[in-house]
Amino acid sequence: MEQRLANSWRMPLNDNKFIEAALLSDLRVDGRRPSDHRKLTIKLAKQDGSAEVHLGQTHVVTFVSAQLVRPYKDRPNEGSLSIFTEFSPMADPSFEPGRPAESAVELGRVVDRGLRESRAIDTESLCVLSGKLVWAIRVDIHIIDNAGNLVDAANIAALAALLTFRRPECSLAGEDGQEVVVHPPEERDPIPLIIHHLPIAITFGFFSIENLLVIDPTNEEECVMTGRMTATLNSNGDVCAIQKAGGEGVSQRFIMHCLKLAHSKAIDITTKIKDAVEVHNNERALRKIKRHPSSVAMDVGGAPAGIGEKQNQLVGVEDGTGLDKLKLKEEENFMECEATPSGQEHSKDGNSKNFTGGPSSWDPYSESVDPDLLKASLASRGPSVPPSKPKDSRHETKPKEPPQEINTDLSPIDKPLTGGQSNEGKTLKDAVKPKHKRRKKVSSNNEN
Amino acid sequence: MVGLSLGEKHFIQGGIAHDLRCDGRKRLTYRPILVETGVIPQANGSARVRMGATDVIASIKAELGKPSLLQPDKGKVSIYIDCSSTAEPAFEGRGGDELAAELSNALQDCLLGGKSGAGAGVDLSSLIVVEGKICWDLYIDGLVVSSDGNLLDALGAAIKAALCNTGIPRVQVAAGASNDEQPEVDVSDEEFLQFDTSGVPVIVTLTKIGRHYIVDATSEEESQMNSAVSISVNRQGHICGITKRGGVGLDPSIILDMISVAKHVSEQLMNKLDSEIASAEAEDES
Amino acid sequence: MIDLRMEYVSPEGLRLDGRRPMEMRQIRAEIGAVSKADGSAMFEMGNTKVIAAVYGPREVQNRSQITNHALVRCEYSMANFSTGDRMRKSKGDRRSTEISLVIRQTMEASILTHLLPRSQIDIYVQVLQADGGTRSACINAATLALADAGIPMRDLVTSCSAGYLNSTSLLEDSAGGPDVTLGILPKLDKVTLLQMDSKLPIDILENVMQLAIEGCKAIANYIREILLENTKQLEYRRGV
Repeated sequence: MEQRLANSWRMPLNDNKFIEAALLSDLRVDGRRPSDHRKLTIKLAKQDGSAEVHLGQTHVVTFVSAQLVRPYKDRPNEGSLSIFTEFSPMADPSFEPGRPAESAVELGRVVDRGLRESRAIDTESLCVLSGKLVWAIRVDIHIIDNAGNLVDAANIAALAALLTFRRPECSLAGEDGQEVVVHPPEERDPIPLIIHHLPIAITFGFFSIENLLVIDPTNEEECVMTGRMTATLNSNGDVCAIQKAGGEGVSQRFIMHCLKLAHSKAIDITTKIKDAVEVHNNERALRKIKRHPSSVAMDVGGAPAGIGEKQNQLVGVEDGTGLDKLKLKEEENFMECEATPSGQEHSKDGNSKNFTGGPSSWDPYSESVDPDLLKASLASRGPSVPPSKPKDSRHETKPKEPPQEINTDLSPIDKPLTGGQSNEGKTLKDAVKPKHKRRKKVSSNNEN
Repeated sequence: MVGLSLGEKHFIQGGIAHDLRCDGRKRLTYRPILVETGVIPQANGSARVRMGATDVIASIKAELGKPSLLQPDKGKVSIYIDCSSTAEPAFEGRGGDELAAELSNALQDCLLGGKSGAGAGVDLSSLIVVEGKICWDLYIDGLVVSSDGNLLDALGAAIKAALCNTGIPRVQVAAGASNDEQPEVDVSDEEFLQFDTSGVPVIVTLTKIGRHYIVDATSEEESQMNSAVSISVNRQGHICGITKRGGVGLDPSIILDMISVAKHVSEQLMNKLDSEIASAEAEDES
Repeated sequence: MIDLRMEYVSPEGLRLDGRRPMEMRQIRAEIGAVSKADGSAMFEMGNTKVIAAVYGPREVQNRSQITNHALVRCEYSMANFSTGDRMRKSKGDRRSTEISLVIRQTMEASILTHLLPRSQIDIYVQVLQADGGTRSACINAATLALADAGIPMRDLVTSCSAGYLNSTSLLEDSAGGPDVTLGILPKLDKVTLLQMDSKLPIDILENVMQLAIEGCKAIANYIREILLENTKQLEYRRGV
């Protein structure tokens, strides 16, 4: 609050009057009509759960990550969703490093309320073990450039990132069914979040002249306007959150008018987000198709390189999209027996080991090829695993199991949104269980 | 911060020298004390004490906890004071923390006795439910709503009143639990136990201005002080704690003199407070 | 969770605390809760109890913030003992920062800041007991305190919340379900504060909002009475 006036740029009176006068004749300085949005571009990174949104000059980047945590005592069956905002000082001179300013806090709270209170994300499906382990989803919103209307941009970015985010699949194991196994992505396809609806934030600016409003104000307009309202609606016309924190008073009728306007805008934006996500999912599916031949053609040696990093598989892979389900299966069996020589010789092993600390540094295939080698490496690895975790108890059994699995993602094409779940039946669930123990360590590190 | 002109300063100092203070009081007279109990229904006990423009609220919450290993036969009491920014704009944000910490420490010294809990205003062994396993943790929270000097005495009085107002639920311990298990307890929501508050001392702060000292200084008078000594005295007339708070050094003989004055004043204060608390309690119950 | 909500409005149409859907909790206000402040008030809605103190208009403390409008500042804090379980949170968490901002902007909308150039008004609200609707109670208390401090205002902002359960709009609902908090300028009939969460179709929201506006107006009448009473007392004391 101290910096509020000290650092904010003060608008010359002339510009101020100009914007107001232009608005009276339904014109805005950037040529839009009052109820138009600026150009919205949604870029989704190849990596899951990351989105970049440009709304005019406003630039927001969002990352989603997940972590296994203990649930809150009062909600033992629910995972959590938390929103963190980061205002980069380069985005606007009024953002200062250190303690978040009021506006940053408000931004986070508005996005948070829209997503959480409307139960847009199914938090119950994030429960792994009731009262013990749930997924905590964390959304980090980074403001890269501020050209007004951060809330809408941040909200869209958060939604797009959540829609493309996939968490590793978990299952329960052990005699009492209390041990949690986290499946690495190449073993079972990660699952997308269950999102019931998309709450879209639409921000209105009000002016001291009655019944004048703009949608998606730029930062110049934000300086001039005397009131702001952010309405969060989904495409069904349900209002999920409203934030009008004081400022210019408007009549109730006018608010209802705004809400109806917001509804139509929300439908537009929902379509845009969905389109972007669909394109992303198609690309993702295509990458997947190319991945299978890689593991086939290069045999076991190829697989390690792909751990945790599916995208890497794209490069240098032979084309084999024509392979059908049956053929794949056969080849897996073949690999199980023949893995030893080719796996150890393959040069890719060395490469993948260079990924230190990352998930791909662990190479299950080459290790399991030679039980003695594996035992040795296990022993050396053992102490580094926190002893409290239940999964460790199963380490010893591991080497006895044959190296069964190869990622058998057999339905790569219908990947979008629910694709992940449909796959689980097809993986070689029983055979692979012991291996997961080690993987869990790897993949949970990844999440941290 | 109080801004006073030179004339005002002389007026205050001169008045005190003549045993007639700005508000018509004598040097050793308190402002009228208003006590209200049960102001925070969610707490186990609470009280609001007003002395002139000084207004403080004390609340007591009891939670079941585990006694510390060193003292398995004693409960725990902690005191936290918060200076609300309503009392003074300077308390905004973290501005009140320094004063709050000073008041908390002074109150802990005056009311809680030594490290072992001996001589505490509240008998710590009465807070034990199962020895070594379960005890009551008493959280005493003070809030300064409005400040016009003499916060420590007011907070001490509020805590005393709140303790009188406190009812600790009766706890039934399920019999037959083995030694290493945490026994199950049944907290009654109908039966409450009262504390024995006869040992809770009152705090008398003597503020030295010029060559004399006064009780219950207002913030204008406090701004003129040379030094202040807070003395807590219990019903037996025993000194429970002495804190010298800021200001210039004092001759030991003056301190001895102050102690005897404080002892004398505390008797009146104690009686006054007890009758106020009794009438407030009667009103609260009706 | 669902079951609990279903039970919330009894078949006779009464709520858990025995109120009818349109019934407000008991409100009580008192001017002059903090004698040292320039203006202060205590406001109670049921078990929610807050104190507001206003300091100013006074000189701007931070010279770089001087403008030709009054600078309005606000700090919201909750006492450790204000909630059922003892709070251990420090000042300045995300929630209280946001509420401070909301209260500040809402009060700013009613204060005639252009009449007080180069000056600063501090509003401090302290929650003594929180039992739902603290935001509304704080705004009502702040309005009274500003009026007590004699600060020029367009109108007396009042605030009230409403909820929606079992296809019934409920005035001042403190548990579960959607919650709409509204602040209005009653004379101008304008909405300045509007916050809601959870999910509601647009037309139902309109009803809930209407109910909250009715609540705000009722509170505005009460606040007016309190202020009038206070003025009469001041007049009497002066011996006019």
